[in-house]
Amino acid sequence: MSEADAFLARVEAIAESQNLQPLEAALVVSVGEGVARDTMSFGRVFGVGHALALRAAAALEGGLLRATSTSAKSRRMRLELTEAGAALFGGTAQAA
Amino acid sequence: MLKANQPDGFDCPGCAWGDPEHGSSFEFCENGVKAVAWESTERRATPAFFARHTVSELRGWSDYDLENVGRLTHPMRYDAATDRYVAVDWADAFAEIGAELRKLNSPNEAEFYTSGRASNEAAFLYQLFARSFGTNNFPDCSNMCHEASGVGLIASIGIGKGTVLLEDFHHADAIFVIGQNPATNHPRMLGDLRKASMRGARVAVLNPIRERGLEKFADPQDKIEMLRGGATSIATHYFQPKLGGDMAAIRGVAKIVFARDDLEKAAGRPSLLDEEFIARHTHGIETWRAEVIATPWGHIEDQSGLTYDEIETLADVYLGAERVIATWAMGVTQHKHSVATVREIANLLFLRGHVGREGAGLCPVRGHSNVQGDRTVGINENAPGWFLDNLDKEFGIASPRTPGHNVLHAIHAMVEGRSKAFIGLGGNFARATPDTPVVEAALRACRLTVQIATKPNLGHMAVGEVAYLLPCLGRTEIERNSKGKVQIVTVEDSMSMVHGSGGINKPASPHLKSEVAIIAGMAAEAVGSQVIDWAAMADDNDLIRDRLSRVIPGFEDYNVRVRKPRGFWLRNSATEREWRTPSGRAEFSAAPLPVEVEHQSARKTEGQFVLQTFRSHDQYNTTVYGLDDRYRGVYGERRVVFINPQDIAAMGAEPNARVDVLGSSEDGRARVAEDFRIVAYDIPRGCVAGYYPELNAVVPFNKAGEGSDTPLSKSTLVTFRQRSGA
Repeated sequence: MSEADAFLARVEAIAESQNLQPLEAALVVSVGEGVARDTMSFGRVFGVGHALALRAAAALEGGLLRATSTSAKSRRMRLELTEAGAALFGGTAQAA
Repeated sequence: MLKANQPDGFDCPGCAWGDPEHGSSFEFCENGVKAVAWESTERRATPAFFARHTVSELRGWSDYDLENVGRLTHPMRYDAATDRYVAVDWADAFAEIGAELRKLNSPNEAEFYTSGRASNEAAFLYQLFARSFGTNNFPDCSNMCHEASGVGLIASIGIGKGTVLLEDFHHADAIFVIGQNPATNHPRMLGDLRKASMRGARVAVLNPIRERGLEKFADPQDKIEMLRGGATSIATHYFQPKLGGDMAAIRGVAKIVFARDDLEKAAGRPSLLDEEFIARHTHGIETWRAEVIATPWGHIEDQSGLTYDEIETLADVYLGAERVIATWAMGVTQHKHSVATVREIANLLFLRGHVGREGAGLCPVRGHSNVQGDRTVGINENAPGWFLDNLDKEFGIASPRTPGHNVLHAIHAMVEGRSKAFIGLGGNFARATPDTPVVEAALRACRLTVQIATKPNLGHMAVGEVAYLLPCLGRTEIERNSKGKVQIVTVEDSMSMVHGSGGINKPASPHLKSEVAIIAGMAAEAVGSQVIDWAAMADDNDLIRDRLSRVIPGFEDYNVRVRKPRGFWLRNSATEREWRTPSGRAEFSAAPLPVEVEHQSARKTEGQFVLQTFRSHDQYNTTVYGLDDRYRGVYGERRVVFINPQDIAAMGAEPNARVDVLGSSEDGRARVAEDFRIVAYDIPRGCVAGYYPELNAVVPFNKAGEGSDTPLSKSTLVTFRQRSGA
């Protein structure tokens, strides 16, 4: 299984277990695995609009993710896992 | 997988330019980012804020400072005893608003104003509310901007909308950008102009002011270009007609085209005109041709402010292109003769068949993101009979057939005491309209004012006897209905594409309601729910779209099609060369050039100029994001007036001197905008410019475009008074 396939498999698994949209699950996995820890980078890495990354982050905020800062100019949200989010990664994701 | 499963798109709440990558456009545009950031601010205008400040005090704040307080969090009612807004329950607000509306002597005493920000769903429900209440009074922000385009295009091509799609810009050989500054007002359009310019298309700009952002453009998406500080030339040809001179310039081009065509035919060569198109699809060319030939060059040059050589260059660009697009905006539409100018532009394109084929067409570029959609779904003081018939049939109501009020009619009615209630669905009526003090006084004289808004603005401080300030969700905010289902709204861009848009941020306050819910709440109290189930529609935008689709042709399968990428295109009859005019053909207009326009009459009086108002770069309509206008070199201030250096010298003034701007007082009203700094600028002699809303105070509300009733915001006669000590 390629790295990309493995990533998508984890996204699917979290989407199913947490009842999330695929984009939301992808954001959680990205933050959890350090692929992208802000909405703008996530949008660039996965080729989706920043607006849609922001929407996913808003849906997850306070649940699996929290925003550590938001740029007043670009709206870029820097994200980290909450305890509930970290639990999906064995509680160690933030240190990654 | 991620792309295939993206949820509904997001439509930038900024401008109405088309969107090739729906769902992501806002970050590609400086203004889009500003618009989203403006709405997503962490600042809040809470009841505690209003408890600290009286309305009288807030009336003295600047537009920028007041909106910068932040998002409204609670429904507020004005308390005259304390001169403050105080928090109120939604139910109480709706009940009193309904009761006040019912107490009016006639439904026609109420004005239902719409901002171009309102979604299709909100606008459709709003017009249904007003019509079931019994009035067609729909003053609308489009009355102040592109009304002349609608009126002119309906007369010329049978539909009041542009005929081009975004893709047409990829095929055009020549693009005429007339009376428009996309660098500040439609930045995403610059990207399309830049691409056109880079592939060799000619971009001919007619703008009285040398706009640096329109001459050159550094694409935010081209990181290498940005890093190098480079920029691509946008305009291949840049001409500076005098204010109100566009019609004369276009007439000059047509005069040269006719003359060259005569020479070609006399020499036995093919015509330069598209004779087949003209013969098969148009009516009235001979009358217009005679009018053009009879117009003297002296008149054309004097009125346009361009030389024969400059106009000949424009004609060369026109005749050298197989496919021509003409775009325009407020620089064309806010004059007395705007309808005639729009029609003159259409005339020119008809000559070589540039309407109804790929890469060519007419493109009025709209301002606010849904100003075109609002008109489509019924915000129209004189809606066509078929629309009212369909509406009545669908909802079981009897819509009034008497035409209602546009913006100027509404101002007159309020000034004269004929209208006693004003409901504003967004916007900033008092600051967007001419003669600000007059309009503010008219609002204060109303029995009822209701403002639906996201942030406080100066217009909200012009309170009626009973006044409400009702906070709504912004387009950037996620809306859920009573069952937790996420709602989307829809908008129509300048190219007649209808998009869906869902929010991307959490709401600014738990007390906010959607515009749809607020309208439904007022309507239920004002007209009752026996005939129309307002609450059901308020809870499900799909239901509103279903019903709208049965009223307006072109919206079939609305809920399905709007959820497809980029949405769907509303058919435009003229693009298929179907002309819904009385003759069944595209109509040449044979209007004569005005005997004189304002810059010509201004010079008869020493010290008189013609003023255009426009936006700064840190501004969107009346919303002021910041105090800079970087393309024009103005920082940290807004009270400036741009004047030609030779005119400054002729006035006996110096650059940076401070002046008061005096408007016409021939009707007995003193019009003064105080304390502006003179900025020397590349603008034709006799013409001056400055920002609205500050300068709206000198724009008279009782002068308007012929056939459009559009305020003359680009052709206001002014003089200057030097301030003592300046």
